[in-house]
Amino acid sequence: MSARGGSSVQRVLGGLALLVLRLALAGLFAWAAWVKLQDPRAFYFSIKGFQILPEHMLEPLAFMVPWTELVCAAALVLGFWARSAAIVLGAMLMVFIAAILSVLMRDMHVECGCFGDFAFLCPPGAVGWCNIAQNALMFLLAFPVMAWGPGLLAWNSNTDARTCCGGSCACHAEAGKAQTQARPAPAMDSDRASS
Amino acid sequence: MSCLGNTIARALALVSVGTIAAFIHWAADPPRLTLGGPGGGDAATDARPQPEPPTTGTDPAQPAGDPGAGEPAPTDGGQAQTPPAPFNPDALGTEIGTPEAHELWRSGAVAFIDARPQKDYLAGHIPYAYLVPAETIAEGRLGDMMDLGGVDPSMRVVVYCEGGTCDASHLVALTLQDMGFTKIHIDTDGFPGWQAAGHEVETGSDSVLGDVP
Repeated sequence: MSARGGSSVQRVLGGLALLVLRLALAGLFAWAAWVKLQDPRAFYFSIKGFQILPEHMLEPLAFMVPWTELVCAAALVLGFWARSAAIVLGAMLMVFIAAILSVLMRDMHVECGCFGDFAFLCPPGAVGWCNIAQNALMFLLAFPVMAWGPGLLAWNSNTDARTCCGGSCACHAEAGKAQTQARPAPAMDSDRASS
Repeated sequence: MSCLGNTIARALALVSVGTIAAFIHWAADPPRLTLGGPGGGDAATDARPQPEPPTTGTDPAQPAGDPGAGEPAPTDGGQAQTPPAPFNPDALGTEIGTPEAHELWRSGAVAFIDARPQKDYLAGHIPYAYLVPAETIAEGRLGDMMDLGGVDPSMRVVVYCEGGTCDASHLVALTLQDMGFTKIHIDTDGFPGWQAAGHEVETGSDSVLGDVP
């Protein structure tokens, strides 16, 4: 176990890095969701401007997207199913990037419904390459959590890691640490073997 | 269940929770996404005849001046007249084009609202239009700006943006409707249509509200 997880200092630093990434991602998406939920109608018109989806899908999406962002942000903060939450957010970011690319290819002027007036990296206004770079950067924030789990101070780092890790990684180490406190070692090993 | 299957199942569970929350939110407070007609009816199904495009009074070279100081505002079009029929704003639907917008502008007693970003407004706008970017709605400042500009809910308003796929005008119009405005028109040709028609254009700050945003 220690050979896979490295030294305890490395484990703590890895877990801490994952915690920081997790919270940063959660903060960004919580803010984005809050802005959209303040005025679902504005977000409705924002996604309507992309002219990708049929009209009847826009209103449900105007509510589903921010609520899903908010639920996933809460999961990330708690470290509860954090890996799954990061995967959902990562998938959403990929969809956003594809949507913006389609707008740029069609040479359309579409307002971004991303963060409202708050400029995370790109100024508010029409979507452009800056928004693609911004979403790609956020995807990079999400990727370590997708790959290695929630890191320190996670609600269920043990179970999250057990279901996510196939090999040596930081969350695996976290899982091992938690396991020694809460579960007998054979259970962990057999579970990993099955996965 | 496999490692990946477990993770995906949890991801779907999170999306499901978000969907349920979204449905509850929507059911509790569904947004109004369509405008009622200026007369209180549904403009989209307004079967009243649209006025003929004005044959006079659309000379682009005509000085703008105060819209209210132009030709006298038309009265009800109920009187029998030989063509061209008098311009009747009440016969207009919610969505109008540049010719109707220009007739309204000439008639006076109509507030024009520019829903584009400030930099676009400063570069050029319909004379006497108020600068009310869609962003001011999220900040809850639209009501204050209308009060400041002396725009009463009983007034007729025309909202425009960039035309085409621009939805800022719809967003501002829907919010004005929530505030009690009933005579709302959206110029779907937007400022590009106004410019293309050769109508007068004003540059610089909002003369009443200034650089509010």
